[in-house]
Order: sequence, then structure tokens, then C-alpha cells
Amino acid sequence: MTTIAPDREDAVLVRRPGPQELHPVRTHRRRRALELSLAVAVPLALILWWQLAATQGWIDPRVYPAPSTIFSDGWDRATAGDLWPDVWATTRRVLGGYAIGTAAGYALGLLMGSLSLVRAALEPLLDALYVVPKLALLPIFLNMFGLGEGPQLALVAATVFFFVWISTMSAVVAIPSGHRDAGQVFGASPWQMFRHVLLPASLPAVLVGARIAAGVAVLVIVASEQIAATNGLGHLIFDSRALFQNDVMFVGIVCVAVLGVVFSELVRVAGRLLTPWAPRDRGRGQS
Amino acid sequence: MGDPHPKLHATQLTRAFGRAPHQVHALGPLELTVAPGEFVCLVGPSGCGKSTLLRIAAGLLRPSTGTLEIRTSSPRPAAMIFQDYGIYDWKSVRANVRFGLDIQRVPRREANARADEWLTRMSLADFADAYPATLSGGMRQRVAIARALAVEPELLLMDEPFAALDAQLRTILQDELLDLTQALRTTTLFITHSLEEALVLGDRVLVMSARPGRIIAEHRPPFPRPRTGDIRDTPEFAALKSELWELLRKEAVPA
Amino acid sequence: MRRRTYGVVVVVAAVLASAGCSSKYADDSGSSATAAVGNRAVKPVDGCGASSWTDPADRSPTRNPARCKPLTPAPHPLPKTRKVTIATGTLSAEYVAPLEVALDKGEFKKEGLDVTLKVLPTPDALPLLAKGDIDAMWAAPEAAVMNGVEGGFDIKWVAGNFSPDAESKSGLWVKLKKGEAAADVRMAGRRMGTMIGKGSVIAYPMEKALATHGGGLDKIQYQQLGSADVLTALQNGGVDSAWLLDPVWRKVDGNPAYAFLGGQPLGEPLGGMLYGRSLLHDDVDAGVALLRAYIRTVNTYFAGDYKSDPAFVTYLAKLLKTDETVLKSTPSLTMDWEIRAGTTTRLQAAYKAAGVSKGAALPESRTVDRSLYEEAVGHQP
Repeated sequence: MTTIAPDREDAVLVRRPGPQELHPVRTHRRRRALELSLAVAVPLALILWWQLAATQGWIDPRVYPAPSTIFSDGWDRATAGDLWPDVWATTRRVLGGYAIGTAAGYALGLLMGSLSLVRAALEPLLDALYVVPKLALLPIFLNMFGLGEGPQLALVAATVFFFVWISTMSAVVAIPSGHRDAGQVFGASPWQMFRHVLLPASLPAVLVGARIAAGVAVLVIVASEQIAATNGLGHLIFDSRALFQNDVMFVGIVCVAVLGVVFSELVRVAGRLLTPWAPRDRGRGQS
Repeated sequence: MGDPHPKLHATQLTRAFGRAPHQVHALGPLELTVAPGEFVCLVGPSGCGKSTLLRIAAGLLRPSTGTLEIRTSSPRPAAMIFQDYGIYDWKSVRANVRFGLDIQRVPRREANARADEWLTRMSLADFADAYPATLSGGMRQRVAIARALAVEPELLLMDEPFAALDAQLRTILQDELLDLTQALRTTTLFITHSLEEALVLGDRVLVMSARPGRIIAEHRPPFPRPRTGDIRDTPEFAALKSELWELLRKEAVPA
Repeated sequence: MRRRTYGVVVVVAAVLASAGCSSKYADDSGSSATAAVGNRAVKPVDGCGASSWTDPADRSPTRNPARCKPLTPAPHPLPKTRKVTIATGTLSAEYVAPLEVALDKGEFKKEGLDVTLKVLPTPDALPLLAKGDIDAMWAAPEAAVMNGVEGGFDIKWVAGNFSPDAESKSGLWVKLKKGEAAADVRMAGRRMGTMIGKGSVIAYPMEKALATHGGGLDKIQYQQLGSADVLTALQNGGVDSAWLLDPVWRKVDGNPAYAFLGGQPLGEPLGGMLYGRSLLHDDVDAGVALLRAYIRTVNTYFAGDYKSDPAFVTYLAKLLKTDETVLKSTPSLTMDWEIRAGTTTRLQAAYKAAGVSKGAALPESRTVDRSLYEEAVGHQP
């Protein structure tokens, strides 16, 4: 009799091909289908859940209208031609302010990134202005530009400017010196250095800043339209809130959300067109 | 040799970085003379100032004392090949090779023709429109070499160009470079850590001391031109290599 | 894979099925208008006789407002003290004075009510009233309120606040063009500046004043400005007409370059107390008690020309935290707790003209409830 456990025979651990190795095409296709359907199904499920909650009374549909109400109200407005002028007004302001802010931010960022004297002169001032909430500057813009499109464009431009300026300047400063050395050895003039090296090298990082700025621009215009505009989606949202028309308010919110997404995606696509050399990652995180 | 018209002549060259009391003497005092068409290899321990010497020759740095003269009629006679960050990710391979010519404002058609010639020579013709990000390290260095040679420089400066490559690729590229430079006979300053590389490629091998770098030895590998990579297997090669290693080892060990 | 498909089908079916079911937030307006109050016994009240109630259909501008003797209707405290929150847009405007005086003199306490006056703009207060988080609003049946009632919330206008003095010239002012007389002014196409939103009750007198001069809310260009900017814009030509409130109109009164075209109608209050479900259904006794205290305050302190008493003016100035001279520069308001017939109908017509509400107008039974102030003064319907 012994208390020692008998020697068990060693089991065999096998490494064998899995589904991905045996049926690579089918597995890949299934995986893509799954990803795609999740991307569609999850938002759809949330909307359905919201609809259920509204019809069942888990949330008060007078205060939080059901998606079907929002959609039908939005559709009515759109077909009656009431929605488009507001959408167009907001879009116009966002595009205009974004263009101005991006151009100015990029120009100044390139200048300050490449010329250290300019940087030394302007950086403290711009750093101080960066942290001022731009909405707080709206009264100043109202004084400067009066009523009308001026203050709106100025506000969006000011907000976008800082994002683009900072990413541009840091991108230019971060260009590896080896890149500059190569240009210098070949005898590049300052303009040639700029055109061949500094500008393209800094572009991918700038586009990240530009994408963030796109979302923020929409955010800012909605807030600014509440205060200083007579049309636009922001005005629609806050006007309908003042008139206790919750479904119209939600139509406005949904439209703004869609506008934000579309604009951000446009900037991303534009970025990809401008930087064909940059590696694509499969996610939508970067460019 | 005493060539009355050396291509490159450095006299009492020194370079220090920083300000007292933290000043670092990186280089010198150094004397160097390079004849036209000579391939000079500089070997030395890390931090001995080899790159500094090259950057002074390229015009990226000024010496602290002394002078470095280059006999040339052009204001930018040099072309440089770096270890990395040399070529531009945002330009296609062809545009990269064409870069030096674009800077010199060579008309586009001619520049493209010259670039394509070099692409073919470096077996890069199939990749002319690709971006460097899609190329391997070895291919990228070939592009760098093509770019440097496309401008037909009077002085070729190479700063450890193959250091980032694996041993097999390194040997292959050494052989390719050997072929190329023997055909072109461009005056070249080549920096490397690898004694083997220096002996294969160079007409002269200069051994540098630890910081501050001075030249402590000079050898002429006794292998007649034109050479091939086969010289690596000869007993003279091994002997010369161990002799130089003895010298270098003392400098490489921290005091 | 099969199980997943079944799961999805079940969920979708459940959602579609429930779409037909009703929710617990059933429309709670309108149905109970008669239910709660119809069952209440109304007893006559000492001190409030025939003059304590006027026929709502009487819209004569010279009508005397309903009044009782001072200190009546007498307090009738609730068995247990109840907390009541009233939201108002501001504490320094004269039309809030009756509530503040009532609070200061302890009139609410006498009824067993612990009242808090909260300053909240209407867009913020209205959802709270609709949900029952606050009990009442001292505001007006503006377009937002009408939209709330339309949306299914139970909110009613239960008492009036004031109508202007005959001498008051708060209202529509125009800058006369060269040689123009007030009667000739044509409003169509003019630019009007105002700090009031499009959904305000002022839309109704505005529409009336504009209509008599060839304009209309849909025919003029409407410019919303800050209160400080309205007068400036009128004076420097930024707008050619403006709705000026007390006491801003004093600055252009008597200036021949400006003409007054009409203001809030006399004898017709346009605002006052709004109740939500808590005081309309859950605790009607408290609702009546609150109005009783308010009415008593009006009868005691604001019955006539209250600004003729200098001591009272001083007291008011301190309570409202305004300047005595500002108070003295305008005539006394005519405090009036009653609601005229058809006011909300006329208001809704103006909102429609201004474009801030669509659809059929709500009947008075869904927007007004006079039974609470009638019970407070002991008037039997």
C-alpha cells in the first residue's frame, strides 16, 4: 500500500489549426460582417430602447420625446422647408469660421515653429489667450462687429485658431533635425525648406488638431447662436426651449449632432487626401 | 602622399559644445587631407567626434577653432547620407531621389530622367511611385544613396549609413556600394563602427581616439582596385582587422 | 446563432407591441378641471361682498377692479403647515410687490403656508412646474405655457396680477419721420426693437397697437435686443420703433420726435399666478389659501393709489431694492386678481400671428381656472 499518487500518463497538448487558418476567407468575411452589424445594431438598439422607454412611460415623453416623435416632427419641418434655412445658417457659420481659424492658425503655427524669434515674441501672448474661454469673448466680439454674422464667425474662428495653431507649432518644432539637415546639406533656401520639408512633415499632426477643432467649432456655434443670432440650429434649440417645445428642441439637437459628425468626417477624409503617405490604421482614431 | 591639390584639407580642427564649465570637447585637434577620388573611412569608438567632423564638412556645423577647406567651385559640393530620418516619408521614391535636383532648380523633365536612371541603377525602378513607409530599411537606404548620388556631388559624406540594418543586408549593401563607388570615383568620407566595413570599402582607414577625437592611426588596405566582397575571406584581411582592433579596443574601453 | 436571432425577434416584437400601449404620463390636463373643484363647497366670506367679484366678460377699460375690505378675506390656516415654492422671473419689478409684501407681512404664514420665492426665468421654471417640482409661478400665460398645456401638462392660470394705469405710456413708441403725426404712422415694414421674446404676452397688445397702424407681427422686422440697448437703438436710429417698459418710456415722454401708439390694454391683466398639478389637484386647500393671502394683501396694501403714501413708497423701495425716485416716476399699477374672459384666446391668436405657436387654440377650460380665487372671496358660481 502506498500513499503516493500513481504516475499519471502525460496528456498530449496539441497545437492545431483553428478556424482562421483553415477557412481564412470565410472567417474574415464573417468577422467583417459582425463588426459592421455591431456598428449598426448598437445605435439602433439604443434608439429602440429609447422608443420603448418613451411609449412605456419609463421616461416622460412630454419632456423626453420618443425618437418617432422627433423624427416625424423633423420630417414635417424639413418638408415644409422650415429646417433647411437654420441648418444652412449654422453650417455657413461653421464653415466660414473654421476656414478662417484654420488658415490663420496654420500660418501662425508654421511661422512660429520655424522662426524662433517670432516664437519668442508671440508665444507668451498666445499661451495666455489660449486658456481664455472663447465664449467669454463673445461680448467683446459683439461690440467689435455689431449684430449679424461677424461675432459668430469671429467666435468660431478664434476657437479653431488655437487648436490648429498649437498642433501646427508643436508639429513643426518636433520635426526630427535629420529632416532639416538633409535639406540644408542639399542647399535648400528657406522657402524650399518650408515647401519640401516643414510643411509636409507637420501636416499629419496638424490634421489631428484640425479634426478636434471641427467638433469644437460646432459646439461653439451652438452656444453662440443662443445669444447672438436670430436663426441657426443653436437658436432653434434655445428658442424652442424658451417656448417649451421639447420635440422641436430635440430635432435641433439631433440635427446639430448629425452636423458635427458629418463635418468631422469630412475633415478626416480631407486629411487622408492631403496626406496620402501617412499609414492608415483600421480604426477611426487618427487620420 | 602630399597631393598639392587635395580635395579636402582640415587644419587644427577642433569643436567643443556648450559653455564653460560644462563644455564638452568633442573633436580635435585634427589634421586631415583627402585626395580627389579617395575613399576615406573613419573608424572610432562612440562619441569620438566622427559625426561632428562630417557635419563640419557638410556645412551643418562650424569648427570652434581651425579650418576645413574643400577645393570646389560650387557653394554646396557635398551630399550626405544619414543613418536614419534621411529620406522623406511624404515624397515618393522618385521624388526623394529627385530632391537634390529640385533644390538646384533642374528642369523637371531632366530631373526625372536623371532620377529614373539612378533608380534603375539601385534596382528601385519598380518602387518609383511608392512611399518610403512601405519600403524595408535596406530599400530606404538605397533610396538615400540614390538621392545623394543623383546630384553628382563632388564630396560624398556617409554617416554610418548601414548601422540600422541587419548583418546580411549590411554585407549586401556594402558590396553594392563598393561596385558603385569604384565606378564613380567620388571623393568620399565614410564613418563606421565596423572595422570590416572600413577595410572592404576604403582606400584609407583612419582610426580615431576616444573623445576628444584625434587620428591615432592610418592604414591603407592592401587590396587593389577594383575589389569585390571576396576580400573578406583573405588572411590579410583578418590580420589587418585584428591589428586595427587592438588599437581600437584600447580607445573603446572607457578609461 | 439561432438563439441570437430568436432573441432579437423577441425584443423587436416587444417594442412594436408596446408602441400601442399607453404610458403612465397620460395626458393629465383638461380631464380634471371640473373633477377637483366641482366638489368643493364654497362659503361666503366676511368683508367680501358684491364688489369682490366682477363679471369676466366685462372688458370696459374704466371698470373698477374687484376689492374686499382691508384685512379680508380673513386667514383660514391649513391644519398642517405646508411648504410652497413660487418661481418668479425677478424680485425687483413692481408687479412682484404684492407677493413680496405678503411674504414680508407674514400673510402666507397666517394661512399655514411656508412660502419661498425663487428667482428663475420662465424657460427654466416651466418644466419644473410641469413636473411638480415647484408649486406655482408668478409669471404669465406665455406661448411656452400654452405649448406646455398642449403637450399634455396640467398648468392653469388661476389669478391675475395687474393692469396699467390710464396715465402709463409703457408700450409701443415710434420715432416720427419728418412731418409725420402719430396717427399717420404706418408700421408695415418698420424695424422694431424689444427685449421681450416673441412668445411673451406682450405679443397681444403689440399686435393690437401694430394692427391699428397698418402693421402686424408678421409685417414688421423684429429685432431682439438687450434691455439697455432698446432705448439706445431707438434714439440713434438702429430701430425705428420699440416696445418700452416702465420706467424707460419716461425718457422719451414729451419729446415731439417720438410718439406713443399704444400699450397694454386697460382693465385686462395679462399675467399672474400659474399653478401646476400640486396645487390644482393634490392640495387644492393650499392652492386656495395661497390666493387668499395674495388677495388679502392687495385689499390691505394695494387697494387704490398706493404710491400716494410716501411711507409706503419708502417701504416698497427698500423691499424691492430699487430707487424711490424710480418708483415715484410712474403711476401706481392697478392690482387685479381676476382674469377676463377670452384673454388666453386673444393671447393665443397673437402667438399665432408671431409665428411661435401652431395648431388650433386651446379652449379657456384648459388654460384658466377662476374657481380658486372665486372660492377665496366666497363667490358662488
